[in-house]
Amino acid sequence: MTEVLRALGSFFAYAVIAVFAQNAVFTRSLGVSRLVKLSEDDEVGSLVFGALLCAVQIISAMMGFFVNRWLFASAFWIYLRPLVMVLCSAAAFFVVLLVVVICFRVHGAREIVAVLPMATFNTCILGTLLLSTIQNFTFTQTLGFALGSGVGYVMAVALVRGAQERLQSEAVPATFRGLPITLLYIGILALAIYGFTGHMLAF
Amino acid sequence: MSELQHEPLQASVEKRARRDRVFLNNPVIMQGLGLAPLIVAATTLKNGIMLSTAVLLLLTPTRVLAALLSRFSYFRFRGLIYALTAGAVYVGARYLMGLLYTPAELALLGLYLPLLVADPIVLKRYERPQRERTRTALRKGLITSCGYIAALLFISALREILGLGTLFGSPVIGGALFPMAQLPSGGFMVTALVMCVWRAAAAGVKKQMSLEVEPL
Amino acid sequence: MSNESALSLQRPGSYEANRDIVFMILPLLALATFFYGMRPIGLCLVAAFTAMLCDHLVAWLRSHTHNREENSSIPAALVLVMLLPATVHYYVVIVSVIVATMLGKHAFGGYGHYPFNPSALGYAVAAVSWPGQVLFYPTPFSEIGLFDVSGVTLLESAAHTLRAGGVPNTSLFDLVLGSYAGPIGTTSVLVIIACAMYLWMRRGITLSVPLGFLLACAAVAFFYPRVNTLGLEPPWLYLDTRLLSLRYEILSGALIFAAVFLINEPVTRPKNTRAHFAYGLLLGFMTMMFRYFGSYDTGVCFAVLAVNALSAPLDSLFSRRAPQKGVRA
Repeated sequence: MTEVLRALGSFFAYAVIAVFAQNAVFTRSLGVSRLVKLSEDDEVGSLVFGALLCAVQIISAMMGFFVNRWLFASAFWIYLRPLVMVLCSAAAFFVVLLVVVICFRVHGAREIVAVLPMATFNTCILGTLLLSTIQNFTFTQTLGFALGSGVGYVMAVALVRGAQERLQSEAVPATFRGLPITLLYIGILALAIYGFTGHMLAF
Repeated sequence: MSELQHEPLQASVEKRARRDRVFLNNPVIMQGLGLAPLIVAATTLKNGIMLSTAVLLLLTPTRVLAALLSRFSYFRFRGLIYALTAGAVYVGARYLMGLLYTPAELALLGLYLPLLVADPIVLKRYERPQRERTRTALRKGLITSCGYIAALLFISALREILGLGTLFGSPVIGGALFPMAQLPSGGFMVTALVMCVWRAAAAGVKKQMSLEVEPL
Repeated sequence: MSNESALSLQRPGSYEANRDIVFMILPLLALATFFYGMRPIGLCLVAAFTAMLCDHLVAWLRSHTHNREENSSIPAALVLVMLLPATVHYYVVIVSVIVATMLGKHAFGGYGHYPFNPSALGYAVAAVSWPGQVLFYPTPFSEIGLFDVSGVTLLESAAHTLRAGGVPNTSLFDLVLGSYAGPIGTTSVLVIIACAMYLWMRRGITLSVPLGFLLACAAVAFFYPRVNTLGLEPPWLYLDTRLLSLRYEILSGALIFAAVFLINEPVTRPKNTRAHFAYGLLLGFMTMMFRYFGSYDTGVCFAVLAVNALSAPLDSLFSRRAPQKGVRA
């Protein structure tokens, strides 16, 4: 019983840390290019993208954990790691594709499936996979970190989208409009989180 | 009469500007690609040079191979093709990087070296619906690499001077002018400022170009 | 309609409100001069001059004439200096004022458009970049030269002792009057409260945000004191420890100063007055989280930056509730 509780505690602790103190966007700048695109573009719903991202993240993290365990000692692991992680996220891609098509039928799933590649092949997914394998997390830690990473990314998207009214106003100087001011906004939030952790995170 | 001539001339200026992927239409500055390694890992010129080598070894081969392979694959799985090709090319690229740099030096880049495999600077092309010709992929891959490397070297050198007061390890100015430039949050701010100044300069040059083509 | 016009006659415009803040910084500056000599005045002058230069530079860059009515950079710069120690280097002040004004205010479009409090941003940049300069304070009545500060013994703040789980070695009298090692203008609680009363009478500040802020801070300090960490005990036990914690937490770490000068900034707080109390509560809670678990003693500036990002969502949350109330009635 205590083992289960301890595992649950570790899961939630890593999830909360990955959302706030080790946020993928604000502390490690993972998936920033995609985030800026998403925040300017109102077509893709945050909820759909977020759900897909979290699903792919968790499934690929599970697969990545077992593959890492298996191939960890190999001499070629440093060369093969990104390729294998991409394969894991591709497998997660197909799993999520299958689930979506089953739940929504082919016609309704079309819009969601159009977003799926964008939610799968980005630096946030690969970055989290690489981190959990490089730092050798346990299974519950990997799952918690993956969930927190996805949720943290969605939170970052929501925060930047919420600020669009100020960021897209006419008052912003022309040379700052669009990408630079969004980066500045993210940078100031990154500074606020740095005030919490107090040191640069390992990468 | 001059108004009728003005529009196609303006369009030609825009077309020339779009083709210039080093200064006028830099992929980092104008489109925000490849920001992850730039903001966290490119804190010194040495790191910038290592990342540039990696991008040089990774981007063009990936783009050419993926353009070739996507001829034989289903349209919807192009993202997968590009990502897998990047992962495969990385094996060779990482091996060459291991010959050029010591493991301690590569450890400074941490996970941002393998992360290039999923970075939009390498993968972005899959989002466009049309398949790319191999020759175009080669040309565009090379010039996009040049653009990314230019921005990378400039920003990493700037961050090293501001944050540490050194350049490539040797001291240039007395102390650090802005130590925060070494942190990710400072990286965001410095990159935003560089984008602002670069965009202003590019706008000025474009204006000059359109004045030149205007009929007298 | 007549109610609105009556309000606009009473509430000061931004020019008067900013001027009031500058006037209220002056008593704090006078007390600081009494404690630390002429250096605080030098720092304030340098900060104000840099802020003005930045304003003129931006007006020149954006090719329009400088608006004389727009004077918010100077109070922002002065509030920033009040948070720094008297021994801070002039260079730190200049750089943090430049960052606060150019990046914090003008990059976002000038007055009325910035999402983050510029003074909090400037302080955060200074604390992160030069922690040795910004987090160590001189004791009052030590010899501090106008230009040369070598040879002054520096101490860590009272909040730092609280972080370590100890009790600061200052009497209540000293804490309230401000004669202990701390930032230039944030230590003397009595003067700050007097300034707050003046600003409130001039309608420069509203009470709902500071009230929520202090309530949340007091609640966290009372129920989970850092002084002799108690853990999850029933709240009626260990009352003396809790009251001790309450006293020291509220009176240290620039909390009262932040409640008056930092969190009432009209541009960065939610526009909807209904959201103000919730904003204050959230700010107070986040400040205590930053102080308890974060890395910097004056966590309030970082908490202000973090919660400023939530002003817009709070606004939309509270404005959505209003029409529902109308329908039910």
